[in-house]
Amino acid sequence: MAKDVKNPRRGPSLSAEKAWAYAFGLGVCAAVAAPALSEPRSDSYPLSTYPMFAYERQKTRLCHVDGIDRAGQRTRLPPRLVANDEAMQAARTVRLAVRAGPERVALLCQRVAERLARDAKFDGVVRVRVIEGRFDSLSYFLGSTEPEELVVHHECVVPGRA
Amino acid sequence: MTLLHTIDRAFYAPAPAERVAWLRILIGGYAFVYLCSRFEALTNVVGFRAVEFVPVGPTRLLRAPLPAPWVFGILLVTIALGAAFTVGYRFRWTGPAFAALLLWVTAYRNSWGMKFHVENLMTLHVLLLAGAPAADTLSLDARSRPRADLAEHGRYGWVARAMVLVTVTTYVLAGVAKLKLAGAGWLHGDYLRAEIAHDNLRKLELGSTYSPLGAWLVTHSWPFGPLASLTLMLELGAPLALLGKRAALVWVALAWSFHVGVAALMVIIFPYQLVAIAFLPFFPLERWPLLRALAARLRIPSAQSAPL
Repeated sequence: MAKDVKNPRRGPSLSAEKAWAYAFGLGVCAAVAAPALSEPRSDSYPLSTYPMFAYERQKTRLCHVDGIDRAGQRTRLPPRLVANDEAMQAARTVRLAVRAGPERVALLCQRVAERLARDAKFDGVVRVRVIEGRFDSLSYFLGSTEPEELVVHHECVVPGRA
Repeated sequence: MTLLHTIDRAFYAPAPAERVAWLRILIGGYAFVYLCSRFEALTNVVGFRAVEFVPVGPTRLLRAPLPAPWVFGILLVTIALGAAFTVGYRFRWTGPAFAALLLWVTAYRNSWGMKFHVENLMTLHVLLLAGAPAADTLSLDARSRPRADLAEHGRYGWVARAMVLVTVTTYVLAGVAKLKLAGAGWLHGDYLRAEIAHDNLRKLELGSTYSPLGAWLVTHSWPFGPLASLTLMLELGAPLALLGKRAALVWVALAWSFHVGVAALMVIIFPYQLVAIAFLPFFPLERWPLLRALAARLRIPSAQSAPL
């Protein structure tokens, strides 16, 4: 084994490869630890504050898209009809559209309706709504599944199912 | 013995070349499989609108999203480099190139408003491996240019220590964020209970897969105080894993159980942790019988590794 420590009184010897190990290895560690000094909500990637389970979540506000069948019953639509398989990314897409205004919401509604028209699994759905609801997170699972507030931002017809 | 010597002995601790080589193979192999299996999720961002683009990390260099062919092209090159990284082919170049592109493609996916937190540790581990002599053995490079001196050395030991430090730090940061945002009140369990309810509610309403177990558990309040305390102890107590092999084993078992719990209660999957690849740097894996047998079968120069 190669000796890195030549003189215990002088401290460890510093070869080029050891200098690299310390500079790079500890540099990465320091960079990963640095977000501890920042505001936890200012999350980024790959250096993160990892705030994911630290927020107050008593109320859940959701912008999402649902379907309505001929009987007026509500159908939950999967996120892939909005954006992709990631539910949270789909929710973000809807939220951004709502923030951007009525034109964007109408466009999103139409896009989902067109996708839905090609999906046999949802052939009973005739209308699509872009909605925003506020729920009490715990009450929802204790029996009260209706939102405390509900805003319908836009409603459109599924092509060919008027 | 000075403090510097103590730090040096801990960080630049000698290890056999096979340890870092196995980390390269297993973590690189995991990243390669991850990229292939998540191909659709990594590329379907091309369908998003430019206004949704919120660049993070290296993608801040961009003023607008990349054209679709670039997204697909970069991912395909990254996958090819991932294969080269794993088998140790021209590692001096392919290692850093793979780490840089893996950082890019995962950052690009996280640049659409949602930060997933499931790729951070994998990307950081690959980055560290790319800066280490991880292909001196058990690699195609070692077949073509066998290295004479493969004896235990600090050059093969530091990277696993750095990976452990990074792993531990990420858990401590998660604990610190809870204390900063919620204070000691997080220990009461109300935050955790509401978080699990909130997450499952969102999934139910958004038409995604939710956890019936989590939905049932939130109807009871008593489990959440103990669960919150255990979570915070695991996160803030992560540095205890640095104290020795037994402490590391206990902490890794608890951390893995934590991720199993998160998956069971919220269907939030941290695959890198759940398949335990994230925790390999804590262990002298070259001593594991299966890997020893595999190394012997590969007939790659390893004769100078230390006897076990």
